[in-house]
Amino acid sequence: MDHYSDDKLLELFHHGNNPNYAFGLLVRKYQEKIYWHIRRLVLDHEDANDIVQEVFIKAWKGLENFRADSGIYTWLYRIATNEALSFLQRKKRRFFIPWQDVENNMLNKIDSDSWFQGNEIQKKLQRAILKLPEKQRVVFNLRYYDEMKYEEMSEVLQTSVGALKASYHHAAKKIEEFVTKD
Amino acid sequence: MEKKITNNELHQIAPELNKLRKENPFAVPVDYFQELPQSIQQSISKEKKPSPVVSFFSNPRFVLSGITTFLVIIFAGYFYFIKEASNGLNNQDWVMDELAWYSDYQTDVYYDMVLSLEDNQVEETPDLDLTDEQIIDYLLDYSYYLVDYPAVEIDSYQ
Repeated sequence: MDHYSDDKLLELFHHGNNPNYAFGLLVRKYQEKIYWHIRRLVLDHEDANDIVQEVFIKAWKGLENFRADSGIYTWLYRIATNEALSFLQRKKRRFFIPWQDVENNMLNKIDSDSWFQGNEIQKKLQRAILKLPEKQRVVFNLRYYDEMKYEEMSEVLQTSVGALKASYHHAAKKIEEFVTKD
Repeated sequence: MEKKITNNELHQIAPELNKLRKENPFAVPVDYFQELPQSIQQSISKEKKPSPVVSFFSNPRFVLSGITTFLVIIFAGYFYFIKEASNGLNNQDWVMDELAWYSDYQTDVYYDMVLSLEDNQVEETPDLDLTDEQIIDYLLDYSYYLVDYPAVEIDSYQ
């Protein structure tokens, strides 16, 4: 099903007989990438599941007026990133707790999460990523796990390529330091 | 291609981190990604799809039908009022006939009542020196419903 290009999917959605079918193909093509991107930011599966649904609902509503100025791929990532970060902000505000405590809660979740199957080194890596500022965390995840090009990342985060490279550089340095100590 | 670039980049920035095996430590429930599209479709169907807004003036057919409807209403209203005005005159004639009949009926009733009275049933009235004009005035004031037909009818009963 992945053989449909984004342009072909858009054409099917806008001019085909069955937009639902075209949208279903789009979901199947990008659901895993989008889910994992969100999951790495919020860590919890249930939260990630809620957010991924919200992302595709927004995509469905927005696809009607979507113009291919940017690719669907980066557009979906932008929606997903905004939704995940908004979720974390809401969570912080809802419980009137500082980010440090949210981070601790998320760290504890890694330890107790039955859907976390990594070893100790992986846990340590996730703890190091969690200690990064939000924006750096997003940049690191997109480059390290998704291997996204800086140009695409620039479209997703609306930030210059130079700033993204600097951000990734700082993030990778900090994580290495955290992971290798002791 | 991009994988190789990112590896080289990370090797230069953080060589120790680059040595770590890159893997996804998270897991999902069985068949999660098989069921996710259906779950998303269900969520979407719950959301009401915004209906497109169509401007009235964007379609000449809408404008034409609007003008036609307006003219039909104007003509219909005009002919309706003409007819009503005509009916109004007819109604007025009918009312006058009805009043005339009612007046005759009432006059007959009073006349019959007076004729049927026995002498002992009539109280003596003070010896008033009333002229016919005064009596007529009294009857006219008292029986206001005879106003339109006083002279003719009363004269005819005399």
